[in-house]
Amino acid sequence: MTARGIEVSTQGLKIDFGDFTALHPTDLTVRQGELFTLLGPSGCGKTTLLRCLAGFLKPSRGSVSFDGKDVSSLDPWDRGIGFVFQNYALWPTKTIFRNVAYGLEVRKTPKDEIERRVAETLDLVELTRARDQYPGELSGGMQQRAALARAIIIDPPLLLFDEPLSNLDAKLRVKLRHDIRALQSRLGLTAIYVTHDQEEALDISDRIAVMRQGEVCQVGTPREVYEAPQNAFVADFVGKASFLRGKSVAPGTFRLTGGAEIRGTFYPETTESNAECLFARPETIEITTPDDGQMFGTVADVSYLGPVTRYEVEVEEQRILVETRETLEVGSEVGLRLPDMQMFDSEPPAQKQEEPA
Amino acid sequence: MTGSWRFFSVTCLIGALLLVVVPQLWIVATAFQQDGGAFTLRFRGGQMQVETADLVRFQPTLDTPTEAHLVRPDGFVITATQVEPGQTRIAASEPLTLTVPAAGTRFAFESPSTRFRVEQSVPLDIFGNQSTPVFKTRQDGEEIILLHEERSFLRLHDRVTSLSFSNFREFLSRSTYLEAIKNSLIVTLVATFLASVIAVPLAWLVARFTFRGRAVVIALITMASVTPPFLGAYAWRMLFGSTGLVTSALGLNWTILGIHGVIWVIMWLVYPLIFLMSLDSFTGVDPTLRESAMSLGAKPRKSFWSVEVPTCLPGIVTGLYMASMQAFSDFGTPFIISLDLVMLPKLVYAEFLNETGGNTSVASTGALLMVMIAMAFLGVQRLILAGRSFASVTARKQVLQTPECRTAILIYALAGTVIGLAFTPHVVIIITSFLEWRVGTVTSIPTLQNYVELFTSRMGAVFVSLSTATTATFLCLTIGLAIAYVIVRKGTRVVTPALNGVVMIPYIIPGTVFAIGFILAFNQPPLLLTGTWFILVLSYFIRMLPFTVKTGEAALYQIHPAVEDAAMSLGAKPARVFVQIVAPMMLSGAVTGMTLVFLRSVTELSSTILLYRPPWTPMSAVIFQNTVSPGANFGYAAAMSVLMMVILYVPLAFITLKRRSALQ
Repeated sequence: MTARGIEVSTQGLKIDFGDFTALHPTDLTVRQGELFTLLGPSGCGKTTLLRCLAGFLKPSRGSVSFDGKDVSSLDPWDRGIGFVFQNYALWPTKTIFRNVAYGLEVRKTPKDEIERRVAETLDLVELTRARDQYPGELSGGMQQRAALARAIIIDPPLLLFDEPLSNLDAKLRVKLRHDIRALQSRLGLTAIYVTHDQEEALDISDRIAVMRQGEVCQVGTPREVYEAPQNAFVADFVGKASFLRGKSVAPGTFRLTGGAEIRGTFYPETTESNAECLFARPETIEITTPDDGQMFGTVADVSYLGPVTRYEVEVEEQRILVETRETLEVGSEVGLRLPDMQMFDSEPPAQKQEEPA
Repeated sequence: MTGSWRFFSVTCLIGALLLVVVPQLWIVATAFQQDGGAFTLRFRGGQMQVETADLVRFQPTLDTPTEAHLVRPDGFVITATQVEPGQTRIAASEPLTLTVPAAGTRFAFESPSTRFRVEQSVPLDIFGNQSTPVFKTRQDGEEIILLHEERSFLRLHDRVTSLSFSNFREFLSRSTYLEAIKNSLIVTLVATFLASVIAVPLAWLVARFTFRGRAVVIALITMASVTPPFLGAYAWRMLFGSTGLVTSALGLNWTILGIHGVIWVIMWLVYPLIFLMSLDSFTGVDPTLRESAMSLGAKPRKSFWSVEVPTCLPGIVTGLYMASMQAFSDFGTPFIISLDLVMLPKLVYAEFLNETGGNTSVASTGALLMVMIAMAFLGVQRLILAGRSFASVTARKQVLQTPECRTAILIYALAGTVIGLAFTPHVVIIITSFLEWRVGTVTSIPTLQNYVELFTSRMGAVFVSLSTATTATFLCLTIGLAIAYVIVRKGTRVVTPALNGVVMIPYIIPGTVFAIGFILAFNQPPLLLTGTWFILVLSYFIRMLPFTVKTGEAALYQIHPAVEDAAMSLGAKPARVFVQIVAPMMLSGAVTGMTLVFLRSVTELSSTILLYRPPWTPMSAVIFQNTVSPGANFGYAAAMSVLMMVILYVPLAFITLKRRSALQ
């Protein structure tokens, strides 16, 4: 099969539910053949956006285009795209074969062709042996593969995934997301993938859109989103983050709330004194002796994680996370060196919305 | 909402308004309508007399062979004077004018406040010939001179109707009506209370303990829950009636006839419902609720009263409500057990059907009162349940305990008694179906004649029952489930809530009332349905609609909306999605409910008895008529009852087994 994905774009797309705006006007472009992830906490509008692309929701304003053609008024059954659901949404009254064959039956495909293509597709997702079983007889992972087979059999140019793996256990999740990724690039489809799991998003995406409260905060490659977050929310939501409150007082100088000043190179270069938050990734912070480094602190808490140990270091009544392979005791005095520091105008939202895996 | 669904729901709403609301409005209109009144004059042997058996609102103040004065409560006085045989002068307190003065079989006259129609009928002559009587009339000043047959009945009927509460006043002032309300309430409350005293503890024991035969107990009580209501009454009367088998054998001078008998029979009729609802709620209690209460220091007794009972209360109260409604509207039992005990459904039925002296308006008033009492019961149920949540999410199944010896004996004794008494009627009926009947009493001569008669000449009723119940079930399946779908999935601001409200109305309307509404609304063209096969089907369908819609909704809540989205994204349009995806899934969830619709349609009596007309006589009506007609040969009716049990219990056993295998 050749690359036959489409380009998907939204123009000022806005979705309201009564008085509540689930999605603020959004312009996004998903390139042909790309695996694009919508990442965000629950209630951020990512599923709403996805369902609108599928046609299940009509935009309140703005439009959706496939390959530059406005499809906003098309009904879901006329869009010809594949959709994979969080709860699989297999039909319990039909066998796996009948589930997968359904899209072809609707298209009045000849019987022998249905037979052949279902066999091929089931082979592709390694479910040949479950052909005559009912969904209820399969494990969660097998059900999700069946749902995937059902979606791709109609040769959709676009595949939409709505948190497809969140009902599965951790190991299986990792394997299946790689399977999905491999299948998508092999078929050359454009795929839009909704998840709240930042690790999953970083792992498989070509690009990620991080969303919050109905707005897209940042669009970029996994590396851009992780290493150069555009605001404190993105920094906090994607990966682990260490924050310090304070104020930038001069170019190259940041004064912590407690009074201590930190000097160094900041990104973005501080020219005005409006930044109130200093950010670094825990694994970039280096631990040195107390008389070395840009600041001093006391080890307050230790979590041994295997590959690294995570320390909470108390710096002037604030705590930052440091990940390193060094071994330290609670109460040790340490110096900290922050080679990659970033400043934000504001702190991250008070409560980081944790979702159950 | 797509166009086709909107069209469907609007059509359903109109249909439901026509079939549910219009008949009830007819009842209301009839109840508030007061007829002008009527009286009959009898002429015989040159003398005139007021017929006392047919006086509606008029009372005679003077009744001599030549002169009669009649007064109506509003002060209107009418006087009839026999001038000579065959000639009568009519005068009134208001001037009278002939409106249809022509000579003929009928004539009419009016005054400012009345509009009388006069009908003349003549008794058959000794050769059995009936002559067609002819009037001649003449206006004489403000009076009417009337020439008629010398031997005849003249019925004067004032057809001016007025809006009035007088029917209510009449209903509530006549002692029989008050007696009927009192008896109905006593029977309902006492029977429901006694049934719950048996059913709730047994349900708790069955829900908590494991014992041999537990599944059998549940299955048998489920079977008892669909027993045709009239079978029990008849069987108990056969045993303990005035010439009952046990009464005569033991020479008792006690019989079951009377209010105590009605309570006894109805109690066995309604307890399965309370048992099954309570069992469901006891089983549904999350055991961790009780365990957490215990871990906080509550002793078992304390945790039972403070945690378990409040959690189960909604289910139990709903069971009690449903049972009391069944008891209140049960029609067959009081008829069979006690002919002189007046109860509301019976009285309303009699007022409605009685051809002499019956009064449709008063019957409608009684019907309206029944609905009000039913609504009061519903109100009490809602009041008790207000603010209590029905949803009990079970995280873990109850672990059944092994009972101690004492508890086990209690369980077996209770279950044995309950099941034994509940199935006594079945045994009695089965035995009598193999015995010969002579002049209305059963003998001890074994015979197969009853079955021969049933299968050779009485299969018409079986056909009517099966065809009406099957068609009604099919209608419920298609229209009822589609309505549930529209209500749950395609909600709009006006149409679907209205539809939901209207289809639930039959839930609180007793069968007798329902049937009266149907007859009032559909007894004239273009909606002439009374006495047809269709009216039975329609009434079963509409009466089962609330249950069907609730069943359908419950089934739908188990179906995640994503299964529909999945089909749509694969190219299926909404109608196709409903037929190919949703309907099969709803069906598999609603199979039990649909079977119950069928069973209840087959055993339905209280509306059937008013609606059926031969040749469309269903089994329930045949059996019931046989039980109440003195001297009737009950033999083939017993055989028919046995056949009915087979029709009921085979599908029930099938779904029970299927559900059990699905659980494993």
